[in-house]
Amino acid sequence: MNLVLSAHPSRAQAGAGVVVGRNRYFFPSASPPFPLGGGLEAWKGFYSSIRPSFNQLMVNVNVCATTFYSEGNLAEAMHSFEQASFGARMSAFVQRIRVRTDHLGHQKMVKRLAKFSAKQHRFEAQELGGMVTVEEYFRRSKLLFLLSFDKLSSFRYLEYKITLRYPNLPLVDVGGTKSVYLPPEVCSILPGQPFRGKLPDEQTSEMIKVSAKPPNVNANAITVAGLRELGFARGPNVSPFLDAFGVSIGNDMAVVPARILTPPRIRYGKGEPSVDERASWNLRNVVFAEGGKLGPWTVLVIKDGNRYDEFNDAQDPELRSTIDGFVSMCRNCGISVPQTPPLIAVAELPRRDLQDPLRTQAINVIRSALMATKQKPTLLLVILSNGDKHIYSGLKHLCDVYLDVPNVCVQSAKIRKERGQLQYYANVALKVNMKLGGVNHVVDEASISKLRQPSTMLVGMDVTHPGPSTVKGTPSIAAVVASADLRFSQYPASMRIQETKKEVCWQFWSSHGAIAHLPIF
Amino acid sequence: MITDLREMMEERLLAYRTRNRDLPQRILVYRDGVSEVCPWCLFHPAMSDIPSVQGQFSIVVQDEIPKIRASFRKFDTTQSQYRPKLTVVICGKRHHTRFYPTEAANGDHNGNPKPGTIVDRGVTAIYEFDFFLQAHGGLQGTTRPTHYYVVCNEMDMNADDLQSLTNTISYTFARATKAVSLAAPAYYADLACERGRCYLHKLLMGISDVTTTATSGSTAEEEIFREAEKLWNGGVKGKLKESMFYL
Repeated sequence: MNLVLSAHPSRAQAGAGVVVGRNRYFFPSASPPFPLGGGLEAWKGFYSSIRPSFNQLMVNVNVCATTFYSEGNLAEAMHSFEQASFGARMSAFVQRIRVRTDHLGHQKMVKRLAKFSAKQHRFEAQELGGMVTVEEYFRRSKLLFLLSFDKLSSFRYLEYKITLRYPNLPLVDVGGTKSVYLPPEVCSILPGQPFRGKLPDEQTSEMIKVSAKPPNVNANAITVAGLRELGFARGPNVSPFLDAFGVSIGNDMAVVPARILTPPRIRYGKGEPSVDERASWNLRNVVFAEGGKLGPWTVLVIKDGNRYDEFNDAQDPELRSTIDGFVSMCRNCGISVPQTPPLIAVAELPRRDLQDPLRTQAINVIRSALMATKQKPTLLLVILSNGDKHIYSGLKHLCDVYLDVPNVCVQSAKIRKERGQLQYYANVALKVNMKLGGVNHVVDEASISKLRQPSTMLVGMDVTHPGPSTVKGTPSIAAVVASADLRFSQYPASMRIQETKKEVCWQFWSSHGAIAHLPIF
Repeated sequence: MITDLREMMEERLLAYRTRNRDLPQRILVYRDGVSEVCPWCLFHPAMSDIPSVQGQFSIVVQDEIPKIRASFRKFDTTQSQYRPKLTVVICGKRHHTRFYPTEAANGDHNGNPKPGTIVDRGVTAIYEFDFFLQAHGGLQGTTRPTHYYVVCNEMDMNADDLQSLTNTISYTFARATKAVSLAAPAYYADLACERGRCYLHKLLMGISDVTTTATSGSTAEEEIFREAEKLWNGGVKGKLKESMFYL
């Protein structure tokens, strides 16, 4: 049935549909792409898949959005992708991208990014009488060059005289088993190609903006544009394949019964907030169910060239008042904080360097700054300068795995900003109390009576896979957490890395009888 | 599939016993990350995306539940066997089912269903025990209900009890002062995985020390795994391990 339903939208005749994955259909002519920057754009489309239900079949239709490469010059796209994402790998951006070469008009797939540029790479060009760089080759090659040999046994010749504008960009390998290197700027990205790598932050948030639409907008899109584009709408434009199989699809959404459960009551040590209609409450006038106890602690200020948001140094009076504000929030919530003020360490990070994309030098500076404090803190409060992921990851790696120091990170800009500062302090206090082994809030006993007798342990499990644009062979990560206390509050974790199992997937494929149709790429 | 699930469960049971001086009589598992497509499956058109015990969920039933049971045996004594009742619920947010309230009174101000909305008829599995629960309040856009699918139910929970319990524990997530979209234990496991990604950040960014390919009988991928083990460095240890360091 899925094949019957997908026959129409996946065939280009209607609106040049593009299928992504199993069940997602995009019609750029019906809804124009939204530029995201960084050589990428968002396409909106529809998901459609068949569902068995009691006594009938249903079609699950939903709106969806995905990232595509913008059509255009590959060098410019690579350049703007690199600009958009400091440290993101261009090699992931270009891998498996289909291009047309401007000088020859050939369609090629990029196999990989070379480790050298048009300026660096030399090769033997007989027509130029010896070794030349790729840059020189494109500039100087006035000689006629054998392009192709067609059935009529005639030669076609072409002459280059191209001055490369991006001679320092790495070349792309568009060859088969043998490498063929081309400067990216003589390549144009072909339309309709989904981007499979990891999106840079800015593009991710743009993507969310594009796809987050209120329910009435989405519901309307599904029942009007969705049914029309997918060929499900009754009338003259219905998919001929549905007709041919004698299938018709109801054009109204299915109505199903639902219930609304009442929320539990939230209990604190002091105060009982009421849950509002958005299922939320706040920390005003409450004290944690069990306050943690903070011992000697340390504040680490990260300086990373963000003068606008950062504190000046350990003596900065604003740093003092920010810490005081946070401490009083913690105390108000019931966390016991020692009278002795925290030690303050400052780590002045070396500048970003393309040779050190993971910023290992900066992490070394942080390590030294922490070692110099000569006190193993019961908590390390890190005031980050910016949202640099390499710094954050490196810090967590260092403190969790090597130093065994409980730590919590805050953003300098956010913890200083007066507006929403109390809320920010409160959110950090929530984490701190849990990390100190406290209990923030519990639910009323009646709501969890089923977990009491017989005694029950709650367990959570998850696995995360490496995903695209990671090193091949990177393991998956599995985590198992379980309630350790009888208040269902503390959930310590066990974590492991494990081989990303291929066999599992092969099993899936063969069990669906589809092993003969594996796509090759 | 969770390869070392038996050892991990043993660790969790041990931690429970240390703290409570007794083992739990029942164990309720929320398993997330099952339908998450792995890189090899991504683009295969024939793979059905209908959740079922025959499909993606069979791994949990055939591989993981036996491993969980095996972990119990570590706690057998000469006097008695330790055989707690086990219920396993698979949870998933990556699906395309959305609910639009037919009456404004049943929706919030954006027109999303109200927090606590349960659907267990009409668009759920025909034979199995499953339901959609939207425990949280919508922030922006169209709210995604979470799908819960029971693959093992020795605790003999009935639909009402499990549904309202799942709703309740969505209110126990400590880092927020609101109900969250996923049962808190599964949410915590997500966060722990996310933290684990920090430790392998280098490889996840596509950078590796392994330059030579396939030397002396080991494949490049085996070498990458060894590099990952080095980065992992035995994971979190000491006192930190028994805390919620991943929050």
